[in-house]
Amino acid sequence: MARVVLENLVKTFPAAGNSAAFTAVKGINLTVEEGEFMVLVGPSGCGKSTTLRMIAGLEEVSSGSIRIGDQVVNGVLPKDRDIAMVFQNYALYPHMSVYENLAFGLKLRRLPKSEIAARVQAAADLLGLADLLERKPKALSGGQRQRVAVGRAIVRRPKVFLFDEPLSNLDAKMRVQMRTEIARLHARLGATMIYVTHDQVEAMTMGDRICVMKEGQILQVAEPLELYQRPANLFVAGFIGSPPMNFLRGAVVRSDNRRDFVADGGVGALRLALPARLAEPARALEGRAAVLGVRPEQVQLVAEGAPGGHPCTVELAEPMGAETFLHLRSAAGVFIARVEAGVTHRQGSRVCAAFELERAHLFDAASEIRLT
Amino acid sequence: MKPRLSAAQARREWRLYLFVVPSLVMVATFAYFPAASAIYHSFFEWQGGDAKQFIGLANFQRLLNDAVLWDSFGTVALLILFNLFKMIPAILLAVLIHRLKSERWQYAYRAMLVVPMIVPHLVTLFIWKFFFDPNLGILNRVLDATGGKVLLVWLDQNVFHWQVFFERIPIGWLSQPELILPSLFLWGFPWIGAVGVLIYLAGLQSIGTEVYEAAELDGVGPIGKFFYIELPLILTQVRLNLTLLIISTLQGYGLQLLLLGDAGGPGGRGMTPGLWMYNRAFIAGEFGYACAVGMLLFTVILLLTWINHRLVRVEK
Amino acid sequence: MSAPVSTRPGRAGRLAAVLPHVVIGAILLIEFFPLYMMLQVAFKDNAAFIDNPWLPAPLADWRWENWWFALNLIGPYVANTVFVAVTGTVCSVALAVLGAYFFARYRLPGSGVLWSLFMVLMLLPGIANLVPLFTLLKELSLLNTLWALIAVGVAGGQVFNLFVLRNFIEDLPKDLFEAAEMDGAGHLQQIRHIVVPMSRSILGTLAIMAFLGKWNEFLLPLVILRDRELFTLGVGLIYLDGEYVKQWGQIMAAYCFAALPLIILFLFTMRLFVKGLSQGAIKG
Repeated sequence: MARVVLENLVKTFPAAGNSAAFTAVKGINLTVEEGEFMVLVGPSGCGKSTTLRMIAGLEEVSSGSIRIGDQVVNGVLPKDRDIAMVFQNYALYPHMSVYENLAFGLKLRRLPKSEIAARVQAAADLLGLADLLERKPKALSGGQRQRVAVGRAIVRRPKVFLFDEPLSNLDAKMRVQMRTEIARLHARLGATMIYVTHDQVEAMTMGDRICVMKEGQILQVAEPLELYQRPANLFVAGFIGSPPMNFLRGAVVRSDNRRDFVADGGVGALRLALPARLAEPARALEGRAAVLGVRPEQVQLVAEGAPGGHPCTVELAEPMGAETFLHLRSAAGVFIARVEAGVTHRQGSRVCAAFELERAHLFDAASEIRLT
Repeated sequence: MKPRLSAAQARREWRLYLFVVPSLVMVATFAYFPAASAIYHSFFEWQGGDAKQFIGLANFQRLLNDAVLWDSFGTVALLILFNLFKMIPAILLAVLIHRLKSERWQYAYRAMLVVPMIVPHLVTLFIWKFFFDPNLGILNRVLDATGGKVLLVWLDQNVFHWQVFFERIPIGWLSQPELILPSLFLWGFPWIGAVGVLIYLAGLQSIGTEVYEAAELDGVGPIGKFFYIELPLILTQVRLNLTLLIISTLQGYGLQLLLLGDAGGPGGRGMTPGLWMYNRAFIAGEFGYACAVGMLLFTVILLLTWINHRLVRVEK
Repeated sequence: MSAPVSTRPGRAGRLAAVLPHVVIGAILLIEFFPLYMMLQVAFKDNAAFIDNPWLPAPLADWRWENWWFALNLIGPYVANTVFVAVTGTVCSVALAVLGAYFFARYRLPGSGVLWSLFMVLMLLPGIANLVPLFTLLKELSLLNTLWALIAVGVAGGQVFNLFVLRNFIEDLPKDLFEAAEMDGAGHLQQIRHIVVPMSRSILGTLAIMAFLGKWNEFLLPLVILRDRELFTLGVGLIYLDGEYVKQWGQIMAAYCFAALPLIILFLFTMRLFVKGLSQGAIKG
């Protein structure tokens, strides 16, 4: 087990053919604590995989440094970094049996036969692969292959585990199951793990901490709930959470001794009195474009005429079982409400929605940074 | 895309270069060096020994007036035509096998096609030579038994007046000058190369059943299917084979050497440029001139390759 | 009314189903004919052959001594050829795997130039080379040796093998190599544990093609081999053909021996070969 520290890490791919030089990772700093499960999440092309591959040693570092434990590993070959990686496509050796796949790395490291057998057996027991050891990868289901790929990492007992979107090739049900299995594995091994995914649900459910990346930069590193409740900027707010946070564009307007948020939309547009928590920081935004972020669960349906009620039309109702997502259209645009499943809302029916502003966030539209 | 290694990494991984060195050394020694040497020596009067004399372009001037050489280009052009024609049966056979519904039969036929490959080429060649034998050969016996000989003699005497086929004299397929080219045409009947058929079959395999079904619904007949579906799909392979065939025929001379001897047989009717080069070098000892003949051939082939590349690119 | 209409297409259909088999069968028969002649004539003496060229001789008249004679005659040539072909094939494929790995796995500085150095040879016709090659081998004191055949054979097949193998290795999933790298495999180990096992059918096909090429080679041996003890099949068979009075039975038996190693080769690798070629191992 070890800490992994990235300092000013940069990766630039040189120009090749008709593609220009491209900087995939733009000087990031990140510390993954010993035994921590860190998830790197972001849309495709955000540099998360490149970062992971640099930690693995599969990609050369352009500048900056990577430390694993106390050692700077920039020039160290992958095999000497004492790390193991689980690949997106599993990368199982198709011509080897499950046993051979698990044992391959140990054999190359010249461990004694008995030790190899013991470790493979232990990993197989842990992952429920004991009956499959003689099979070839072709004869395994997707989930089983995934387990073998994880097992291949476990037997090595590395300081750090790296996962590169390991669940993206599984069907939805299998993905949920493997998610919990990997989380349980982490709890059991207590090893440092770095996990790359583009799926925010995976990130939220698995990570001790989550590092959100975009365009080669880190936007926020935080624990899942912190990330959900206090996103640092518009991107994180929109990326984490499903359905995503509603954004209402508008401006902060001063009226008398309070400040209001006036949504775009002209005459009759939504006007919300900001509560004290938002009003004070909103001072900086006065007269400038602002974005009000409201999670779907912070939108409530109220009786018509109730204070703060805002008339809307139901555009679409998505019953999820325990709850229903309502897509509502109002003068301020379209937003989503997460409501109880009990009442059916027909398309086109008129309802009244109120925003629970105590938990809402205000963003500067220009810098996209959260102010509250 | 595969990783491009930076200069620093390449220095660390310098041993990787060792992987390519053996191939490089072999190719440099036994392919590049002789090629360069051939160019160099084509400007010399040279018997293959240490003594040589620079004679400038004299060898090339001699090429221009070498009647044997120019005749041999005519012969080889004809042989290329023959060989192009001989490509057709393999394509048809591949299509025929591909259209069989049963996979098991397809595999069985593919396997059976490979079996004759166990006969070494030289043996096949000599057995064919033996087929052509005037007295013992199969060909004359078949013609005698089926009356083909009578027909040929009748045609000769009454229609074409070739003066080639006579009633009481066995047909000398490889000894009568007029018959050399026809014999070379017949050679290898039914002109099926197992490797070619298998490669065509591999190309044909990429056609899905739906394509055939769609064609059927559109009312495309079996011949239409060949031209609209099957031929286009193996066109890459056909074109590749065509190129290789033209090049190998142009520079080939092994068959003629063994079948007809180093002078191209009676009347030199089977003389090809390659055989002439061999003849000049190893029979006449004119190595310098042989190199010049080689250079000419080389230029012609390079030209053809270039034209081929141009044509292919235009079509893309 | 409906009965004849329905049976006629049935009969035509059956004919259409059988016809291809008839045609293919006929072609195969002709293809097998040399093989058949070789085998049956090998048991006859000249008199029996002239008497009855087509059908096998009755078992009692079989001339087994043809085989004994042929074995003595051609055995050494076969041995020489096996040596040349096996050594040449192994070296050729092994070198090509190493080289192809170099080109397929990474883009190193200079690899593009090196690659074109090889590919240019695809365009260079080999013909012009025979004469200088002969003198080069003389300089290297390789004339009249089997090593010359091996070396030239290895060099000759290199470009094609490299081309095919590079394409193949490039198509292997990159993950596998990276996983092996993380598992601690060096380049040679990656070749041994990933490349070779995964490209077995293509390697087999290339090896068979290389072996056949060397087995069928006769021009170079004809030019450079002088001593009868060193003759490969190529030269040996040509000399056999040059005999004035031919004992066809003995010659055919000799041909059978010449084919024997290929028979053994195909017995073990037929599946691989058919599979390799059918998978489009040799792409356009």
